[in-house]
Amino acid sequence: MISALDVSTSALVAQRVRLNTISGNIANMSTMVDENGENKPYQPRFVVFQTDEHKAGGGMAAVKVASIETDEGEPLHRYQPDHPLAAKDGKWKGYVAYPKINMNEQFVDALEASRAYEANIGVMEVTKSIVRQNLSILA
Amino acid sequence: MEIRPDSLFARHAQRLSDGVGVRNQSDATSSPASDFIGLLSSGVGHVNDIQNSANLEVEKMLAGEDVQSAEVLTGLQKADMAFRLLVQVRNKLMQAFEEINNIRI
Amino acid sequence: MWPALFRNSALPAVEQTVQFAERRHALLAGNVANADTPGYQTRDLSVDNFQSALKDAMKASHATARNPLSAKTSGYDGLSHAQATENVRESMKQILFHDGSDVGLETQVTEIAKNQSMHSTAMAILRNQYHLLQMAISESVNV
Repeated sequence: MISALDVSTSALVAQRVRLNTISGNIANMSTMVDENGENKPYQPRFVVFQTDEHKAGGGMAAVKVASIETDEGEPLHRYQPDHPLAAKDGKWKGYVAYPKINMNEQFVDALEASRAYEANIGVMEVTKSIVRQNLSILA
Repeated sequence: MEIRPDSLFARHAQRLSDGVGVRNQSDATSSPASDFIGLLSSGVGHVNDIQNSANLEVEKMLAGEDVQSAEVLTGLQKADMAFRLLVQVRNKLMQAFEEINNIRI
Repeated sequence: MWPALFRNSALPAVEQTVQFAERRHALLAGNVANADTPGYQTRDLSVDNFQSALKDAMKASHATARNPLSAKTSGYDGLSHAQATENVRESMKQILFHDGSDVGLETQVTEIAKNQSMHSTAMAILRNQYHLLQMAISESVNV
């Protein structure tokens, strides 16, 4: 029964990582220069969850973040020929590349993550009450 | 050998009845003693029946059959109260028996 | 005498129900944890299987109590007590996998709530049964 708490905790951790990733996406909504100083807009990231059979054992399914993937889609291009970062030549000449992050999508994702977080806390409360009732057999 | 909590009382009741019976050897059939013993053992039997039916209801509920949980729980509560009453009656009788035993003539 | 002391009531059935509810809770907690995991199949323990296995075990135990030497002579032709008890234990280990149809967070949370209520009821009955035995042994209503 105590390992059921581990299962819920793993979910809390995973959802927290997801929320952090989302807040990173929103924070970098207008970032057009990557960490090496190159003129590449920020690519949004997303988490991939995976069932973790070994955390708790006994057929209990915990969850872990398998990886944090980067969305390699095309960035958003806006025609701004006078912008210092506009492309000089090629297909996107005169266009500036912006990160393709839809704020509404990110917010909905964050809401879902916090809903899942609350649901897991609710499950932890139920687990704790089961353990407490077990103790009441003796006392 | 089936042990039920109420059968412990049946044995105590029997011991009581043996003690009382020894003092009333004159009339064994319809003496107040045997009436009393009859009353006591029927009381024990009744409590036993209440307990048994409460247990059966619990088993039906655990097996998923169509019984109302409120009925099962009140049945258990009634059985519990009947049992407590029996315990108290038995304790009072034991107390009275000890007192009578301690009378020095 | 000692095993009979605990067998002649609803006690063993209630204990099994408590255990089953706890195991099921752990599985359902895993479902809620994996609500957003892609390709995850929700797991469950079958309440119906457990309850019917428990019913058989109770019948076997009654038959054995009536006639300890041979349950069969009292007209009982079901499973033996040992076999029935084994079945109950098995039903607590067989994990069912759902086939991915609409089993969402809300369903899981509801199942957890129902399971918890089963657990609480069984716990209350368990405490009641132990209390009865304690009252009888200590010859007093204030255990």
